[in-house]
Amino acid sequence: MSIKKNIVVAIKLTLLSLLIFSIVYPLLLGGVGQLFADKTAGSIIYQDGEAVGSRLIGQNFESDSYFISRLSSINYDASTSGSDNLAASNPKLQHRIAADLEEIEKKYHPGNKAVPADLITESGSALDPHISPEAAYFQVEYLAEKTGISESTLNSLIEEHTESKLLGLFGESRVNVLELNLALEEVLD
Amino acid sequence: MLNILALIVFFILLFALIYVFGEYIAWIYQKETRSKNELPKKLSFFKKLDRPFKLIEEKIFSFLNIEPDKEMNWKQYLFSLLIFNGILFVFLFLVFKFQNILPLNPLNLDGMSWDQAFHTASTFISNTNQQHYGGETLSYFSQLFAVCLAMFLSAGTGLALAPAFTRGIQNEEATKLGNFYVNLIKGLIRFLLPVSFIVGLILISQGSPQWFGGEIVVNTIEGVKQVIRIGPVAGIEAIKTLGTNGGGYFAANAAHPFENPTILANIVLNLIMLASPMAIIYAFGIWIGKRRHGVILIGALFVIFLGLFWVTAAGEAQPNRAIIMNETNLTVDQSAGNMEGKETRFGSLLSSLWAISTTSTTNGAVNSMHNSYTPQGSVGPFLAMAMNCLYNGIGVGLLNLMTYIFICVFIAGLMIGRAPQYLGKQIEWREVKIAALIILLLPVLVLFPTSIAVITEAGKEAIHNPGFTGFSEVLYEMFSAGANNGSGMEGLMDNSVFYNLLNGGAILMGRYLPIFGQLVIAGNLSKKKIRPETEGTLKVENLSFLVLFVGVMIIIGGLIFMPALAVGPIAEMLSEGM
Repeated sequence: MSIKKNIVVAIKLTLLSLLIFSIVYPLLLGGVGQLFADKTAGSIIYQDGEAVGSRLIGQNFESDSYFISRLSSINYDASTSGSDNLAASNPKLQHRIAADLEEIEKKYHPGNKAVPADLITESGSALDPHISPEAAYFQVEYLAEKTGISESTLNSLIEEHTESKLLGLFGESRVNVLELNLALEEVLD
Repeated sequence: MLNILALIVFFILLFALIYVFGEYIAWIYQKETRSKNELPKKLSFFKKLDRPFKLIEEKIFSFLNIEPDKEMNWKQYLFSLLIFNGILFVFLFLVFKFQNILPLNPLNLDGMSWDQAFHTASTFISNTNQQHYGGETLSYFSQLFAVCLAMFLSAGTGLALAPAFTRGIQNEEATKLGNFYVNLIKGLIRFLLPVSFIVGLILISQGSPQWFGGEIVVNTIEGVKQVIRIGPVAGIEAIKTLGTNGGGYFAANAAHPFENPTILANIVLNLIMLASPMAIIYAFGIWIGKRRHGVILIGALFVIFLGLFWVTAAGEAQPNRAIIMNETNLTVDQSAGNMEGKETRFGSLLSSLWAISTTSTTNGAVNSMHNSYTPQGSVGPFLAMAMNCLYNGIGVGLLNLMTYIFICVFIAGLMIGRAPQYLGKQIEWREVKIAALIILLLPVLVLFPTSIAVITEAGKEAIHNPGFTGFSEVLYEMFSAGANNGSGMEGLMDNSVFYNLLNGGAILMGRYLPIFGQLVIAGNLSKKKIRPETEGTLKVENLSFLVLFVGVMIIIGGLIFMPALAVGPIAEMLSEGM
């Protein structure tokens, strides 16, 4: 092929590729994806008809009567993503951990109970919707006192909302914090 | 124990997928590679797809006005490839630079600076996908018309090289390697597009959005407004992973719950990430009429893969040192391993598996933050990038592997005093010289820029973490660029003129110079006679050759970089004990 012909073919192929891969492919996928209902649109959770969050995107819970999520340097601002990327040798990480542990001590009075590591570490996305079941159970005593719900009710709520490993093999068991707090609210009402 | 069982199940699934992908890809290019092997009976239903695919392809060929039977020699093949990629480069540069005035930009995002647009265009045409921007700063137009487009076309370009190189080995005293456009279009239409579509649907079923309606605003139960960025994520995620691309829709890449929503999604993505480049090595065995050879090559690389994985998984199962060192009187339960920078649903094992998979296939997507890895944990990804021939990118992975094999055949030939020969082709000084140059290119592209970065202000001010990790960040970034890997220790503030130009240049050289050399080798081999195998021929299928092959890869790939690694992760590992 001559240079000229090569360039013409390359331009035509780029245009055709734009049609196939940038327009038809994403639209067709979105169309067929409607089979999975709300999932194409971000798995939004509604409460009394109002969108209160996405099942997949974590949220910050500050009130005394909710389970707390993991740390997030972006404060669960889902218009962006990504953690602080701190290495273990970075003094900033050591200071952050010390400060958080102090806060946990003040709030939860764990005594001899071990603090689950996921409560004082940041996830990679900084939007992690889950905490470990241990991290949820860790908060039960405190929440029972604050909400007046019995510890056994809270424990069974957590148990209900614990998602197990895939096939019992892959990944880790976890609790979706937003769903857990919504369930907790229902009990309160 | 459960973890070992999980890994066994994962690898069984992986090998099954390699078999299906490999046989399928081999079948696609059966004619182009002059392969005599047929699809196995079990998979013969793929043949039913031939007619519809052929119809589409013929339409495309006639629209482009090319004659599929007109084949190219290595020079013409390279020339077509460069022109096609060059035009794509210009197009991408313009889209990134001017996304502010292009449509589909509901959030009124700014265009990139010229240096960032240069870096981003380089990285996407070369299948590298190193990102100096956060995915959230791209408009829908840029994501679909630049990123998604380039993910298909750069993967297709890589894939198109595998059958051409194989033709060079199959040919006897001939010059034609095939038609670049035919190989490209066949790979796109028959493999990348349909498989991406299926994977995209699986991702949607898991919750990955494919949404065009702009961002979503919710009022949380605490009465706070949360703005959620969303978009056509699933489709891009599928080709990003299948095509060894790795550029995330979001800054957090595959750690983001919209890109990688569930454990099942993570397993599927991890499987196809490994299977697509590995399947091409398997397909190579089919093309040359020696299935066993492909299996053996995959197996040899798998030994190294498992070794690196073990180093990293064992490192990440350990607690984070910053937590151990805390001076409060609380105890922290770190039985889950180092959870800093990791998602709860994946934990340390699936994060480590992904980390080695993404670096050994030059994918570059991350589902956990490598910057926050333990020093031991970060050694695995480093070495996987340094060797640059563990499965590697789609298509080019086979070429890089062959480059090592030629060196290895040559060394073996010298050791036993026989003329080095591979698959009936004599490997002579010309081929070995080019192969050696290709292998030496990586240290040049990695170590020189690293030295420049650590002695200049512009390089040093970008460093995020202090101490040895800071050096690791820079070294990692240069590896990621030079080896066309695209993985990042994301801490480095790399969006500066300095890093954009330095990395962008290394990326382009790291992609196109090896392709140039490898096509020269293919052209050379193509002209040679095929010598029959005799008693005196060096056997490439026995155990001793494999040991030699693995050894050469570890020595060349690993040891060249040992001094640099010693200053980064290894120094950090040693200093931990103090």
